[in-house]
Amino acid sequence: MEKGKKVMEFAQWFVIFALIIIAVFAGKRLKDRTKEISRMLNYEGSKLVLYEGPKSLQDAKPEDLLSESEKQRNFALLHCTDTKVKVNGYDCYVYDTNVNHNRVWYPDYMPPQSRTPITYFDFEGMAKIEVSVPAMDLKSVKISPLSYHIIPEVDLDSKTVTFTITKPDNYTVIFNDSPERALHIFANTIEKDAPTESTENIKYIGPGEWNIENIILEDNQTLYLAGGAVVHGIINANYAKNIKVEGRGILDGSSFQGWMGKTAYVPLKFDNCDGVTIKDIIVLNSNAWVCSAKSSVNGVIDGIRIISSRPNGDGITLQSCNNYRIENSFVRSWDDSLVLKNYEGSSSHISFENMQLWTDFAQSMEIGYETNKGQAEDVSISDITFRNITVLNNFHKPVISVHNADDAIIKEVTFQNITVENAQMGSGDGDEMPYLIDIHIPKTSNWTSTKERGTIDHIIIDNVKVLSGKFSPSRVEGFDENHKISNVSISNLEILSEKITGFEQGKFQIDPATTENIIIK
Amino acid sequence: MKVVRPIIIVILLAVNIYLLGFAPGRAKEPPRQMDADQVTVMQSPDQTEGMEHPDFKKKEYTLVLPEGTNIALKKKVKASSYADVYTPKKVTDGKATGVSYWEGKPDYPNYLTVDLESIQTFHAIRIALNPMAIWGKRTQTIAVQISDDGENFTTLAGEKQYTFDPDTGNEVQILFDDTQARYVELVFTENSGAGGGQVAEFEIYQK
Repeated sequence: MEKGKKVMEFAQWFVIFALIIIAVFAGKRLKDRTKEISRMLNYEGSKLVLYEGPKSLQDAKPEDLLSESEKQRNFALLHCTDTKVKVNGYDCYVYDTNVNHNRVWYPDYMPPQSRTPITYFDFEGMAKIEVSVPAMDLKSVKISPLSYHIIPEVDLDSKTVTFTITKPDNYTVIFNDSPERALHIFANTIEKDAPTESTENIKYIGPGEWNIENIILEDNQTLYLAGGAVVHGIINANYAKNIKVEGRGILDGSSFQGWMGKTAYVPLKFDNCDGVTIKDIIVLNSNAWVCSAKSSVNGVIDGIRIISSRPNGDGITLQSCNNYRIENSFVRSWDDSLVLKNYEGSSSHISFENMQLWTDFAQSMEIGYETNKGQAEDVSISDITFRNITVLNNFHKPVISVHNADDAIIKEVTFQNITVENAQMGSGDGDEMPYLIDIHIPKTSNWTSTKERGTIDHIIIDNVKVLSGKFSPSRVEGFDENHKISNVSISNLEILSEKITGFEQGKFQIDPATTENIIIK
Repeated sequence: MKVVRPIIIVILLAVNIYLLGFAPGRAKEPPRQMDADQVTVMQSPDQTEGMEHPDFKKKEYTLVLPEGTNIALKKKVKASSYADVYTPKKVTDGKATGVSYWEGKPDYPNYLTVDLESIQTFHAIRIALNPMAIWGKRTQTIAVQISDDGENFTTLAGEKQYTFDPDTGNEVQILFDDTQARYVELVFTENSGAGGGQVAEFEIYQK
């Protein structure tokens, strides 16, 4: 009996032990499976809004993609045919717009133009993006901004690239480490309470291709450009109050000839206005500069997307404006991407935040050269901030520049958290000023209006990182001992993974006779 | 102690039945496709080419010039001030487009005076701005004065606010009975579209 009891006891312990082992394995399997599932794409709660492009836009043919001037080939906005995009399995319309890969100025205003694909949609939750480029000799892919650390799945055989995004933003797919045919994806939030028709104060333009040469907004009016709309024309106002331009649609200037130094059809021009808000729209193919304001106050530019390719195609240019906030926008331009000048009075309280720039020509963030074109008395440019700016490419002139070619006082300017993904300053005829940072009061300049020169004082440059490209020099040079550059603080500068703590190490050219209290740490 | 081990065995059995039988079924894979009802495709209208938008159609406008000849063409002009490159001589050069216009500084009143070289008879004045649509609608307050000696002026048309609209030629015509003078002067005291007075062409008509 005693023996039988012991056997029973042993058997029970054995069963308990076996059940514990099984439970541990089953638990681990369940945990692994749960992990695996959590890593799976989860469309639950996701929403997607796609916009058909206008049916009248022509398909891009091989000859439309040739690198030729606007006089030699079709310059119209087209339906892209060599790059296909699917979002969460649904086809997304792709446009083919003009860009400019030249790094030299063309005095005849006729540089050869190239093309690049762009697409846009709205989403919530998750968006799985599949890009196929069947005709491309695909070798590598990079997704910018690099700060998202997106590692795409690349199938070199089927020429497809797949990746997932969860945050609405602007993304650029760069193929084979080349700027050619880079795909710009503008992934928006889903709009709430968007207008669907015109009312007393809202001018609504729905999907389709529309020729409207000039839209002038008056006090308290909103122009709503719906997703799927392409308007060939310009929008502007003069001496207006409380006006708004918004929507997901495209404002296109390809039907105008290039300005050639004569007639500029500026797509967004708001002079002498109080309270202008510009939101979200996409602006392509301007015949000159793109988003401009002169002597205006209290402006907001939020989430707009600009691509310019023709000469003098500055992205966002403000002259003698006060109290402006520019944020969350994408600017790819064939001249300065962001630029502040004085044409009449002073400029102050202007901030640029959370911007993405791709500067094909000239400077990314420029103050100047014209700081007193109107030759007014006691003008200044002050309280200016550039913060959280990602420069995807900068090909020509400096990334950060303050140029005082007139007699204004420039003071209290901050550049903070600037990431340059690809620094190629000095390409083409940009070799005359191949700087990363250029703070300069020039002796002579093409853009000078006054005999005297002003000063530059209190400039903060903090946390600037150059991730790849060239180790470019920088310059700090004033005019003379009475017109100096003073109190410049440079900190947390990192070039090509090297922390820069000295001027020599950072290849700075500093003129001791015309500068004072320039520090780096 | 006799009952403890069987109870443990029962509990462990129950745990294993849950872990092997029920729990895996609960850890469902997420849907591999989006719910079609969460996708919205905004349709585009049937179009074969870019169209004029019905809400932005402009009425056709035919410009009718005053009777006679513009005797101010190529005549000398002076102004009390001018902004940037917008010099007064541009108002009698016969060109109303591009940068060919005069603009006064914001130091009102702005005076713009044409010298007809001798006393002339005329019956109409046309003040034109660039007729292109990129010039927005604006108002300007203008008075017209005349003089024979260029120093002593009398009023021909009193101060009045005029509307300049590119949809209707972006011009203003001031008509009156035949009048004689050598100097004709525009006096600007307001412009809703710029800091000073603006004129692309200043025309004076003689029958």
